Amino acid sequence: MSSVPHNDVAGTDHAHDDHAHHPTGIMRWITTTNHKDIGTLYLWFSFTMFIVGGIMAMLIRAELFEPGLQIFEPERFNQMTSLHGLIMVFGALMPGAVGFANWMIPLQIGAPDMAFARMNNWSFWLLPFAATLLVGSLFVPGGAVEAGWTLYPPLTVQQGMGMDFAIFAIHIMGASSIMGSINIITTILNLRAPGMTLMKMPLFCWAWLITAYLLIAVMPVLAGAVTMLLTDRHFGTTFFDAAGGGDPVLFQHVFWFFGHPEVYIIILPAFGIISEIIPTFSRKPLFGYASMVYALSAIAILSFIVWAHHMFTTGLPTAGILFYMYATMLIAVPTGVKVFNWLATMWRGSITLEAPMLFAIGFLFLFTMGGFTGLVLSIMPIDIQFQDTYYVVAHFHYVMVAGTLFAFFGGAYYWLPKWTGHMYDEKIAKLHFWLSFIFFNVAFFPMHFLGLAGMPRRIPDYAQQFADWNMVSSIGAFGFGLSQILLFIAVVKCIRGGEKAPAKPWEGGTTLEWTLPSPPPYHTFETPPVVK
Amino acid sequence: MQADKRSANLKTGAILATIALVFFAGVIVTHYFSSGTAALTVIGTAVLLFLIVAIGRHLRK
Repeated sequence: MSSVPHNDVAGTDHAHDDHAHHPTGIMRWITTTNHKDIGTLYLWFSFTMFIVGGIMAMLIRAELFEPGLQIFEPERFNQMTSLHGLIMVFGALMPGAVGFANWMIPLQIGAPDMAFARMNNWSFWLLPFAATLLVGSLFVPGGAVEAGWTLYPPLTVQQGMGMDFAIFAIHIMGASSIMGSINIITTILNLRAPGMTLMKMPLFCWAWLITAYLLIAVMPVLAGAVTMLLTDRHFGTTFFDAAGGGDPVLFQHVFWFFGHPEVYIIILPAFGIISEIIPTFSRKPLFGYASMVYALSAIAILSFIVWAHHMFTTGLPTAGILFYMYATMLIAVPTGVKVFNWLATMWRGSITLEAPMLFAIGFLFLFTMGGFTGLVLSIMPIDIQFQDTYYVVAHFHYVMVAGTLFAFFGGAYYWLPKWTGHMYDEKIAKLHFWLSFIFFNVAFFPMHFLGLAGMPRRIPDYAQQFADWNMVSSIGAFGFGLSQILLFIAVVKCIRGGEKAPAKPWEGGTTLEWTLPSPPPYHTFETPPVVK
Repeated sequence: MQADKRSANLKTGAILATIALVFFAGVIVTHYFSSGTAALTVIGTAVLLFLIVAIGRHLRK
């Protein structure tokens, strides 16, 4: 059972919940321990970093608009690509997912707030400092990290102080993520409303429970890896220095032991959001709820035994290559179960195409394409040809942008009426979807062709033969970037006013948050609802 | 929040924080015990077991 019908909920009396005693002005946001405020802070932070990382992406595409060096020296170009990756992963996508979790988990499980409200505040307020370190590293002598978001030694051992900034930023963001995960797991395990068993929980909460476990498992590993990098740089250790008996390839193993599950840390909350949107706008319960939970769990566990598929060109033993190749292909099975279940939910449903559903369907198309190119890359002989080409760039942008980001956009439109108390402007939201969908494909589809033709990634200049598709790709990237102005307009318009949203703006919504008024009172579920 | 819920939260939080600390220290310390490959095997197995147990016990409920 994926949802809680309203007539099965008792004790949702909010008459006494309206006492919104909280500081006002800036102090409200600095000192807040309220999950809704902190969720809002996370989401705005994520949007800000999305803009910063997006501007970097557009600068990268401007440089690649035509062959030759236009804007950057090669070093600066590498700094842009590296920071773009780090900012988008750690600054935009992860905090965005945590923002949704903060807002929605307590509302969906009938909890009054997160389990550790003060720690929640702290885990958010660490982030702006980490982001400042990361972006600020552009302006220190030697510039920012140039080795890509993967931070491979020996380059990162040799680099200037920008690398130290990046290491500390990752430490801080990692600490924030771990605190956030502890909070989410504890909230879900201990503060669910009476009667809400785990298998009655909305799938968004399940997705986050599993994601939080993944974070607890891998963020300390990344923190350990970058700590060893730091001691190699400044304290004479040689973990990754071949001259001192260390092994640079070992860093790749440790990094991808974190890095591959990280992909799922980013995509699982998106799966959760999509699993809320599709049943609502299909007006049917989610098909195969239990199998969705098992598929999420299988994806999470399998994500830990495939990391070396990122390292097929490092000289792994044949048996190892075969293992990682087949294990990677195996992930397609639970992922396929999920896609099948979403489609089966839509089958013969009374589907309407409001903006959240459009983004969910866009997600289904494009994420599946990203998944297929991932399958192609899992085949070792092909991967060796495509290693470090634009084919890989196309693949992971189909997963990260069209997958996670589209789900976040859909989720934002889905819950905006609940968050703000106003309906968003459907015309702007639909325009946002169509422009994003078209320009995304214009930007990233040609990268498959560039990769197939052998264009390497992370270079500021390229051979004349790649010029045409690069120009198309850059035009698409500018269009996609500018389309996001519509999201900003839609959100701001919705916050400032508009048509009043009812408690349940979507007739197909069945989870607990729709039993609350829109916007919900500052304190909700002080008396836990009873789920029958 | 009720006292029993508060103490249950603290217990869960403390266990999870300890696991995170052990993984952080483990990935560094195991390098001193043996080769890098062995270190990764030890910490990798520990992490995988943690996940299987943590997620698996919820699936059984």
